[in-house]
Amino acid sequence: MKIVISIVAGIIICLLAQLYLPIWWIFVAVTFAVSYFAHYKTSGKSFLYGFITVVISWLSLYLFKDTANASIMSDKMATLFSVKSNYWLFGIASVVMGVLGGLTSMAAWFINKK
Amino acid sequence: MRYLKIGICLLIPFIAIFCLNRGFGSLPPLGKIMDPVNGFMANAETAGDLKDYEVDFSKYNVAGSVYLDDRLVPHVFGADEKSIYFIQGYITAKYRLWQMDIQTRAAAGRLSEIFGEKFIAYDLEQRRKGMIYAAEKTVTEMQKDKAMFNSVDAYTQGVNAFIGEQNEMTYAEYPIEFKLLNYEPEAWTPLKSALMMKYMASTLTGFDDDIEMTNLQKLLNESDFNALFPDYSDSLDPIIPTEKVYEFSPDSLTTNVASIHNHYFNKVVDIFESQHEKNQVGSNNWALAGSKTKNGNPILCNDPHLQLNLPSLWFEIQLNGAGINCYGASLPGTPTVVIGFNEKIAWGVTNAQVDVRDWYTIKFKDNTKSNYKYGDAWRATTQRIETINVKGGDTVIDTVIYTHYGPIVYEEAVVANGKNTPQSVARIGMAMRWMAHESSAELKTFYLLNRAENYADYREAINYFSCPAQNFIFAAHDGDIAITQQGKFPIKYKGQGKGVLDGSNPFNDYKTFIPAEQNPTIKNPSRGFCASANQHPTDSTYPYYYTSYDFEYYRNRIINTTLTALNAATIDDMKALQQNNYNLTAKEALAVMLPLINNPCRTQNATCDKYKALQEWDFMNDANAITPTYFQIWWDTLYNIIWDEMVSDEIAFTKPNNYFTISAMRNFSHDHVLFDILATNDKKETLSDLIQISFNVMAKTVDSLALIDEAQLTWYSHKHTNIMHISQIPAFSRLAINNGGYKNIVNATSETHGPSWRMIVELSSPVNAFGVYPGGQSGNPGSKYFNNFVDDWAAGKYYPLYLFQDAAAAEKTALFTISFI
Repeated sequence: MKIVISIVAGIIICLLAQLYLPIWWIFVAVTFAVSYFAHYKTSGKSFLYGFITVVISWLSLYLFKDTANASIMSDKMATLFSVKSNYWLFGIASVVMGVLGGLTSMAAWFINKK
Repeated sequence: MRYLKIGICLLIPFIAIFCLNRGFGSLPPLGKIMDPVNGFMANAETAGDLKDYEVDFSKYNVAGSVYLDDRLVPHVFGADEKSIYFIQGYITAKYRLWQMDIQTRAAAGRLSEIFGEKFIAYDLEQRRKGMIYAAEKTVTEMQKDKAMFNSVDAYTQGVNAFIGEQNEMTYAEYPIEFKLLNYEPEAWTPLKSALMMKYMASTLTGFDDDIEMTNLQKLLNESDFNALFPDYSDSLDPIIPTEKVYEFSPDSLTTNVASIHNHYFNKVVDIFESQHEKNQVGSNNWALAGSKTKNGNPILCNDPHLQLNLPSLWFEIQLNGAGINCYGASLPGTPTVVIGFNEKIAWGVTNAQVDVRDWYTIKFKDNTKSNYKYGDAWRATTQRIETINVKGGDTVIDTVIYTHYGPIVYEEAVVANGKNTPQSVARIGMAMRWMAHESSAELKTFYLLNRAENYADYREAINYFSCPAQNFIFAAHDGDIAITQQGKFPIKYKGQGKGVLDGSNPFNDYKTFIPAEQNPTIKNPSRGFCASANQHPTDSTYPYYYTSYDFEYYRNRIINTTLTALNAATIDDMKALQQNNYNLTAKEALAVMLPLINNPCRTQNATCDKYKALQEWDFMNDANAITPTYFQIWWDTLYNIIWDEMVSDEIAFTKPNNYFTISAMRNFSHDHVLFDILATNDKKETLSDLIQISFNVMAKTVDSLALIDEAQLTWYSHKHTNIMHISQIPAFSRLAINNGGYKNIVNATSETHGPSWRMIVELSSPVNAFGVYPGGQSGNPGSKYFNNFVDDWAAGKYYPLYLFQDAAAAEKTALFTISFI
């Protein structure tokens, strides 16, 4: 239960930070902080939860705006970057950022482990 | 160990973020772009972006509202003149900021700042052509006219109010192209508006074939040269009907004939221009008197054929207030409406196509190039330092030398003395004399036309237009129609400026200019219509000499014939004529070509079907027809093997146009030396041989195309009209548009150019107007208004254009409103 709460809280903080701070990489700070205070059980889990937090928040930000825009922008960007479709573009970006968020989450776990 | 793990877990994200946060070469900062909030997704337009809002610009002392209609056309209602142009600047920047930025940078030769080293040559060319020099002169000229300058100033303030005085736009608010090209918007200035006008001057008059003509005059004997590149021809169907009598004679014109320059100009001379495709700009316009229309109202039509791009060159707008109420196409970056109408009149333009750019060879006194010979004396040059900043590279500094003719574009042009080889090489300076460098303020013409009520107002307005010379067509509610070729034209002796001129001889200099009232013009001609399609302005009875790099010989005849036959004309007739796909070139070429080949059907040859198709063709270049493809491949092949003499790696040449090519095929003897193929030494080909050879090439080409995909043979897919994004990003472009037409056809849609704004205005009351352009009002690729007109344009559809009488009427149909308080 604690884990679910910390992940959900992480996602909400991540969404708000992305929405209101003009720093695209703010998610790494969020996953670091959440992991530092949540004290996950293993380093693997800390990575996974950080990863999930970022992927879910980035994907939802993408999809929310994209639906309102009927994919007009994202289809063109997918073509521009030679990616199969706009959803692949969202997926790739979210996963890459997820890995970065996972790593900082894990860094916090190692710091906690005295 | 733990510290190592911490280090790795932090270092990888740190390095990754560092890299993703900055661009590498042409690669943009991917992290910033992929940001789902402030990156490209911020440019994904949603319903929230189309809601009413208010802006407080009271500090600028402006008030008014702009009503965006369902096609996102802004209907500007301003409290006073300043407010109108301020709001025009604001709303144009809102939808076209990046386009305004990049086009004025392109004009000024500042693309290397954005794209790096590969644009240095382009930028140098712009600087050498004196683009900024010309724009600065325009600003000085505008400042002399208070009302004019105030409108440019208000427009500038409007653009900068949108950007924010110190560029207060956030990264999220940047147009997507700034993000992808990784640079920032900069403040607007009146100079930028002037640069935009010079950009158009360069698009429409920034080329000539003086160097090529000089070379051809020596390659060809006199009678061939005059047959292939004549000043007039017998069937030219000019803009001013032959009924016109010119009741003036040139004041002080000598009858001397130009002497041919004693040089062959190496292709190296043309190094800048060799990067460009042959010019394809052109346009149609016509006006019918009430006597020729069904409802008895004059009708005016215009479709300028320019490069088709996204965002489009044009931005539709209505301007209302302070005694103005007009609608039409505006040029992003400049105030006023350029092609449009108000309640009383309508106006439009086509390019005059008359040569207003000449080249003078310059003899410098010594290597310092500080003096040059002019008559018996030496004149001093001036210098202008041009600094080109290069992204990721060293700054380039170019010292451009100016003579009284204009800038020395080529300091050391390579020429060969009198031989068809560049072996005996000399190096000379070449100065450019270009009417775009004259002091003038063309915007004043549009400023006045927007307010004009009758013929007298129209004549007064166009007086301010020097360059690019245009055919201004006019129709008024009170019944008058007129057309004038307006521009600043030097009075020339016969042949002057057809080739390169010796700049040391004052005889070759321009002395005076044609008085504006003696420019070709006609009001209410007896045939009941005025029309122009870039053809000769006059017949040979016009007292002044002029020449052109490329007059039109086909569209004008179709338009004039159609309009002559037309009575009780309707809007639908006008639409049909603008969409007319009749290929007169093909008709006249095939009349010579088909009889000269062996009929393959007699020998049951496999090429019989193609021969038959061409024989039975109705000459319509319709989108899905296949025969136009047969003809075009055949014609292109034939054309190139006929003029193989005029291709050289070392010497600059150009080829005769289609009209004089067909005329040579008709009139030259079939064993004329020019028909011989140079590459075949052992054989002397005749015209019939060339036609047979090219037919066989066409048949083979078509068969091999059909093997890959039959669909490739349809005219539209062979022609392949692309509407490219200005930055050439294919993802933001529309490719292979399903549309017919071609060069020299009234529907002049070629691979890259075409009717960039089709407008039809019936001067009833209220005005009944229609228009369309191949783009969309928004310059944002993330908007549904980015290219929403393209398919309707390709299908030949038009939109009704609403000239609202008052704000209440505009508000009723508005999608949303922006209020300036």
